Amino acid sequence: MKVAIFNPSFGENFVRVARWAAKSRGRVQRHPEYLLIAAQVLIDAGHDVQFVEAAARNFTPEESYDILRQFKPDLLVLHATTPSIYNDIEQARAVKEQTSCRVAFVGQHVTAEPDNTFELSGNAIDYILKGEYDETLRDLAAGINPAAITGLSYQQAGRIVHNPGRPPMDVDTLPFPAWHLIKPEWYPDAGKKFPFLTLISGRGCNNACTFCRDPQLMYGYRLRMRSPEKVVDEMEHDLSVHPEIREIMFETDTFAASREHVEGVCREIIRRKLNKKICWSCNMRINTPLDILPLMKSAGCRMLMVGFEFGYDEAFRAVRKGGVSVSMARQFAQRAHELGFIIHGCFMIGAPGETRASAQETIDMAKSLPLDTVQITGIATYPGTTMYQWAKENGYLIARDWREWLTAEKEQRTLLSYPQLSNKEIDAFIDKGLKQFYLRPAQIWRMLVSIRSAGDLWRKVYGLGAFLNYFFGKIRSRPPRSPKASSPSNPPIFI
Amino acid sequence: MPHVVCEPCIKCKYTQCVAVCPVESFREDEEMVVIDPEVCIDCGACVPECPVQAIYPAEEVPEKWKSFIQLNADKAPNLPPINEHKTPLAEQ
Repeated sequence: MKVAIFNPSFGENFVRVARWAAKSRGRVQRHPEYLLIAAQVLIDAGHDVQFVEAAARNFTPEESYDILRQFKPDLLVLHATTPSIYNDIEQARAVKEQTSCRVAFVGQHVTAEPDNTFELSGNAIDYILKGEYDETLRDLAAGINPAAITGLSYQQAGRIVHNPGRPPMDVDTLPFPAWHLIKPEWYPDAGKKFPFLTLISGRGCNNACTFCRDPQLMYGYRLRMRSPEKVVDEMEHDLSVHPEIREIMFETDTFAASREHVEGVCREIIRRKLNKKICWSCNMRINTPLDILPLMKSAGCRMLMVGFEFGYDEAFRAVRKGGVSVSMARQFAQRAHELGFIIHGCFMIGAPGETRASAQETIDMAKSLPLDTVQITGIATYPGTTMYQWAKENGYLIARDWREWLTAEKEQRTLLSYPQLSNKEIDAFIDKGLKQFYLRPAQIWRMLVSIRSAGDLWRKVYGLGAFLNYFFGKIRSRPPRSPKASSPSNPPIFI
Repeated sequence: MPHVVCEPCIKCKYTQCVAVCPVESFREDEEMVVIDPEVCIDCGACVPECPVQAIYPAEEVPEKWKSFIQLNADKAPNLPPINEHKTPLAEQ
């Protein structure tokens, strides 16, 4: 079967496969590693697979259609997102009309809202693959009767059929991503050594954060880490496919959730002397045991992307992020800094109960830690999460249409508005936090003296450009589209 | 390692913990709740909910309450689940 995996464009630099789909404030792009793992599953099953990366490459819809018309797929697979769902349906419909292919949608949004997606699509979508989709897609491409494929929803004779869910798969059976279908330079990121690739070392998360979609919708609460040998095999494979890469980013949300996994991967990297060939970075939790940090450093870990999240303990409880505290965050940052890691701190504004004073506490926290870079975001609220349900039930969700998830410039838009802190105030605190963090003379000096190579200089210039582009874009920004949707006389589309 | 409900829960049973568990790992008997170690994902979301500090990660259970690790494991398979907050025994 000919299968096209399609990442459609949605405005300029829309980051489709990020945790929070939007044009990123850092103007980065994200590698489609999950889609390319599924692509390799199909290739291994003997199918002819084409990957059309229109989002990262900023193709116009017509450019995408031209490529897909030439390929003439039997099946089109599209990872849809909440803010782009109308656009995704329209582009899928156009491809279907031009090639007569069947259309399958995957991803968090359609897993949470399959009925609504089918209803919006009319007959444009044939299948929705809910949750972890690798094996569901394999079965679908194999021509198995849809009624017998777990994890699949489909339209039949004008009605929607939902098959039972598919149990979590054995992640050690997954192939490596089909990286030969992309070029690493399509995915810029000022924080990484460029070019780079990403790596998923496990699925599932043993944390209960109310805003996070992946454990709630896609991969479950059970940690399923791949064996260290497989993980390091993949690093070597990445270098063989794209020898030009200078870094590997462990994008696993939960890389550090298992001490055994971290130690195993690090020891295997050292045993194969891979730490002499390439550096790597990873996402980290602040409750990671501090005594494994030196081993990570020895294994070539360069940068830690750390979920500090908040500057006060009550917020962790408000989003059910268990087992962490501000004091842990301070100890973690200090120890990681002493060991020479580059630290990228991730912070959020807008936890339930957030006030002006507590939002400022989080900003002050970010400024008080020895961090190299930060990202500050409003807590995103997506369908299918506990946070979304809570916000809807309590009247804190201001959006009434999927199109309102982003600004007209496709930037992330805060959708929670509390009596004590409005969405506009949350957005203002985000911008204030970014300015207060980066525009300190000490921070500017710190970033200047960290430039050791042409690559460092390129990253700093790119980051500065992104910072200026974001804030100048703000100045030019207009209200979000579909203003009529918020009018009482115009009924909500999805609620 | 799962989390464990220890001695302070006995005859208190505040049950705020059960409402935040994402995997419904709590079970109840007449005088306390316990955590099913086969179900607990070790997220720790329940820990700050307990007003009497009865819940600990298994590896951090105070020495005097170590026996509660086995007690949770033994009791849980034979008890009914509890997912919603109830009036605490301590307030009845």
